[in-house]
Amino acid sequence: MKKSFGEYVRIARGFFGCSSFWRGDSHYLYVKGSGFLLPFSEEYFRFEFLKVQSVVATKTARGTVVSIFCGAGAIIAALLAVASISGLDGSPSDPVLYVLATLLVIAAMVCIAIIAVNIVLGPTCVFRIQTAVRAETIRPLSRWRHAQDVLASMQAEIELAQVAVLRKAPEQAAVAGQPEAGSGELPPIPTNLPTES
Amino acid sequence: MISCAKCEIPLPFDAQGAPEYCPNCRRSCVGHQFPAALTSTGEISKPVDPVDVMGEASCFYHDTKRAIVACDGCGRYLCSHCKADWLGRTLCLGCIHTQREVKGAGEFQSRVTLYDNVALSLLILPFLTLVYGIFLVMFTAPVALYLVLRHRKASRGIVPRGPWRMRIAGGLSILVILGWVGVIVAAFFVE
Repeated sequence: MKKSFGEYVRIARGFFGCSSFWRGDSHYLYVKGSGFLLPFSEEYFRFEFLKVQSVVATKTARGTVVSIFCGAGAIIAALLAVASISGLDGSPSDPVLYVLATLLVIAAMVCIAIIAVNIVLGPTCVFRIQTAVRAETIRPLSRWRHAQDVLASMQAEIELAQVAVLRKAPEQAAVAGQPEAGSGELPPIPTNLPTES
Repeated sequence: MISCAKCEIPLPFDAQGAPEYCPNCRRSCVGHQFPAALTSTGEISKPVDPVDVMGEASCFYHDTKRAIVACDGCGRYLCSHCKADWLGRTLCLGCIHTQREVKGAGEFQSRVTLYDNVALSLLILPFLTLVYGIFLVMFTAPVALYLVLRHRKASRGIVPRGPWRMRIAGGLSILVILGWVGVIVAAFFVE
């Protein structure tokens, strides 16, 4: 998957390229893929800088749980592999035990690799962007450390865009001859209102 | 209001105005609330000016609102409520609807089916059943070939994707079909 295209620069991507999160000139683009191993369809969500109300990341224990299960799996697979190897006695079933032991060792190594990747990437989290009409969980930002970095950069970009417009609005109103909000007096209440019949 | 991303309970704030932990699930949180959350409309946009001078252009959809821009698609005058900034262009909602639903332009799509991945999966996923995959792929390969031929020019979404998935799926499905035809013909002649 490309790191940038057009105005977009990739911020994060999920496993197998299923989902990705991109920064554009005036908005963020979240590509949400759904499928099995490969994405069968993609949905696109755009979050304008001016319309983002909040971003929040919450730490989760998903990584720890996965590591515990993989650790247990690795230990069980390793024990079974040892048991298979210890059962070798020169009988005709030895080749089957060799294959079984090899498969179990591979399974144990896969589990250990998952634990190692989990440790390197750090704790997991859920990252969510809130606008007036939508709250979307950004799946590619699932690691706490990466999410914190992204959140810091997003905070700077969004605040810069929103504060710039908020500062510009009163100036435009003044140029257009309109009083600033809250600076005017209330209009007189008419006394000759029609009565309901 | 910032809510916990996990349990959606409103978060307390520390002295700097940032949440530290969720009171419900007790998980650590980091987040920030922006000025848009504090406005009445929930977003920041330029104020809409009413038309108060004769001869000024009014919005096509709101005749009491002053037009601030013309649609790049149809040329209609739009107020700040009706204009939408879309990939560097200013468009009205009607033009966005036309581009997305009628013309099916790639950059306006909100959802796209990735037929190249579907075709590839039809050829690969049967092998998750190990030896049975050889027989299952006899039925899925023609479907994959149909998808490749039917949707070879279909949009591949906003993020650029090369044609190699479609080519691999097409080549593999042809090979599988030829292989099975060969096996069936050979079996017929052997008997």
